[in-house]
Amino acid sequence: MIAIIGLSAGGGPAVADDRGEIKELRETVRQLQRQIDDLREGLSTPSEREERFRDEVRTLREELSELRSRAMPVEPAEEIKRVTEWVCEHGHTFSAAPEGGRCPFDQTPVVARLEYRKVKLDRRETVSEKVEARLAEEARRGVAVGLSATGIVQQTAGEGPDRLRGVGSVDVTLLARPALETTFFVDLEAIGGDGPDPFLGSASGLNADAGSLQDSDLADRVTLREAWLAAAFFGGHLTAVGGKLDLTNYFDRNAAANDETHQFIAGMFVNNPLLGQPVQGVGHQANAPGLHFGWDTFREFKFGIGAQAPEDSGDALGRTPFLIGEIDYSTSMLGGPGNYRLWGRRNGGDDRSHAIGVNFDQLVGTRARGFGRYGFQFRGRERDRHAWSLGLGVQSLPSLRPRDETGLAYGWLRAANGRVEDLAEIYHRFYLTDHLSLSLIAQYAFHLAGDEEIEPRAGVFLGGFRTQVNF
Amino acid sequence: MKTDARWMARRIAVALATCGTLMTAALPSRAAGVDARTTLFVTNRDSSDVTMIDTRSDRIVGRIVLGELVNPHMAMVTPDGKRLLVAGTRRNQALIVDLATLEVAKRIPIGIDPEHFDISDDGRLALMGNLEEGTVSVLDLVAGIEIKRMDGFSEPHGFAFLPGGKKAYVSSFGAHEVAAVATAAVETIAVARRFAVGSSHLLAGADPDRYLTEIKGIANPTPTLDGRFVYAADGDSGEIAVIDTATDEVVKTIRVGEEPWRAYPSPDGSKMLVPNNGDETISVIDVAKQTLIATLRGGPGMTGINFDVTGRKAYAFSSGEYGTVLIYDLADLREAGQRRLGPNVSLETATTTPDGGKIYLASSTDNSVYVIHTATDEITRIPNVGESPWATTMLGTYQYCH
Repeated sequence: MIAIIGLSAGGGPAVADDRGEIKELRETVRQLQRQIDDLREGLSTPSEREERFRDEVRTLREELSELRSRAMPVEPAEEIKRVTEWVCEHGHTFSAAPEGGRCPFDQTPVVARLEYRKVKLDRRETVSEKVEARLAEEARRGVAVGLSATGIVQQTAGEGPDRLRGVGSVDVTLLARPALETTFFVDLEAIGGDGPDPFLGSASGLNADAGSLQDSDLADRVTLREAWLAAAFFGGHLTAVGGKLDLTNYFDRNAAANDETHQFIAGMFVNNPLLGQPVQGVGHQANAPGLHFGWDTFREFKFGIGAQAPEDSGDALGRTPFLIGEIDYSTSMLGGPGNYRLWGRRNGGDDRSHAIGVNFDQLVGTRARGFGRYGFQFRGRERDRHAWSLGLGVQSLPSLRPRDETGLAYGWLRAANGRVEDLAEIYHRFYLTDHLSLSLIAQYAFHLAGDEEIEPRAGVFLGGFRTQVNF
Repeated sequence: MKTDARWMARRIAVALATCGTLMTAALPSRAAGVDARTTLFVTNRDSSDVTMIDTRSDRIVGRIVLGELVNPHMAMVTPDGKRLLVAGTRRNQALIVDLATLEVAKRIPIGIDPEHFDISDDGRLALMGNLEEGTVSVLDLVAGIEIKRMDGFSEPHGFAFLPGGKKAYVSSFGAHEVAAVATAAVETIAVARRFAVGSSHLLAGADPDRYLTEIKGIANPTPTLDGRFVYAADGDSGEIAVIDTATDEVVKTIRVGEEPWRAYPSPDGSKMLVPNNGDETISVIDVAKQTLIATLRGGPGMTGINFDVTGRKAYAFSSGEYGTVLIYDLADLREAGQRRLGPNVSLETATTTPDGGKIYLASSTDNSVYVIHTATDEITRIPNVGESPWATTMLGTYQYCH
């Protein structure tokens, strides 16, 4: 176009017109040139944007790649697997059974066996999960330590001396598993305070947690209450326990009345007074060496037998032991589960008494659990003794404090001196946390049998509270 | 852990309890790749595949490769028997496997750490919980897309569609809460109501430290077989909230044992069984009366409960020192024995075959699936199933995972 304009500029007579036209043309050309430049500029701008966009995509891809690489487990998870392997007579191993069940190398028979193998796994496992798993493993392999402390304060009123009594006990328990299905357990206990029994003369014990282990100078002593080894056999059907043990952990148990630290504190609501477990060792909470064998059918019935030396001394092992056996029957009736037990025992040592007893706990409705015990002692020096108790444990309403519990019980005993002792107890346990509870306890002894030094009493009221810390 | 209930499958299973031979006619026909009616699918978390076991011969018949580092958790066969939905936990994906080709047909990117889910009985929708993200992905299984992601959950762990698929319930394990989700119209899927479960707030007042370290909330919302109520067990308070699905109200709270895991309905729908891992018991609840009728001895680390076809026998799976199958007589509400599978055997989830004759139980630590023959209670083992077998699933069965 510029070339054409140049030729036209060298023309003839209508020069003035031509010049004007040329001028216009030149102006038009300039405008066109500017438009072209604008267009060129316009074309070049998107190209740069595109380039920037590509750069951004490239950067994002690199970041994504880096993130992916970081997301991969830097350290694969490790796990011990229980695997099946097939092994030939000469040690050749296969992960699957060879054809024909014979070793392909030497034709020897192949045997399948279970083996353990560590494997690396590309598993999604956060650091916290790894830490948690390791801690759980350490806890499983290590020694579990438990701590339990109970404090009880009781004030008497009504008939009898007006006295305030306090009792405190601390138990430290150690539990370890030295082998598969084997448990080693130790319970160290310290108790201060004898409670109201020494001056009220109760035959069955108004406070089963009392019984000071302090020396006469009030120095605290710690006693080895239990130390035993337990093992299970025959797929868990048979359990054997040997050592220094508390046989009430295995006999005359009861879901509603068997624990003075959480439920009733009167002795006759913890165990049958005629159970007659030997308690002649150092401090009356000490337990003698003994054995327990339990057979669990994993159905309705369980069976148990136990033997214990008559006193907490290795010297007494050769003497006639305390022997006990029990049949447990679990069923569901009255709209809930129930446990029914029949036991019989023969005491050793100087007292050759025999006794039998029954015991039940039964859920009634959804929140109440009834319980009862009856025992009859025959033969021996203190024959024809009876004891029975009945009671109820109730779970509180969920709209109030769902984990609180209330208990009410009455018990009757013909004591060794021939007198009757009967009392009632009510408690309410406030569940504060998993580790702390507070109970209000009231007892009314209609009759206390007394002993050689203390006259029998009637109409004694005791009020108090109990704190329990448990870890 | 959570349980996902597929209602079509459940109805079929219930029907089988009374007329077992109708099963074959009621289920979809065999797909080209695998017969979903007779095949058990087992997710292997650490080998990232699914093992298929022919339940007639108890032989492994194939594996479905899901891809590197998928770490599948739960799987379910769609009601038409043509697809398998898998939660790909590590890859943050929902995977749809075409059972005709036995290949992954769709990989749907969803939230972080998907584990459990449920499928509506028409097979169109699925709710899948992204555990770490606290969200729930709504999946269109026909289009193979995530159509919505709902937030506001704390470790969404359990899912259950009601019959008809118009409503579903989602439980949070990191909270004491269940949510009702309206699912009638895809466009308006949203949380309709939230329910507080249990009284752990009372305990928290005196001991907040307990809840600052760990929360054991609601593992699963378990509907009754007629869909009228949902049972939600709160691990911290030891209580079960019974939610009326018609009015969406908590109508009853039932106290059970310590640390209840979740409720499992018996095949006849008359009972709910709840394993309590805190006190190692099993609570039995009468569904009609909504009351506790029995507390049976359980075991440590119970992960699931299955039933025989009649519902007379129940099997609970316990992983303590020994992996153990606990057997119960539900007619008499008593223990009926136990079978030990071996030391350090970690039992995961199980599936009862539609005819109720067998229960397939995954065991992650020995890479096995145990087969319980319910007529005799004999147990056989299928070894080398895959690395860390976890969830089992079959067409026409009650479904759960943990």
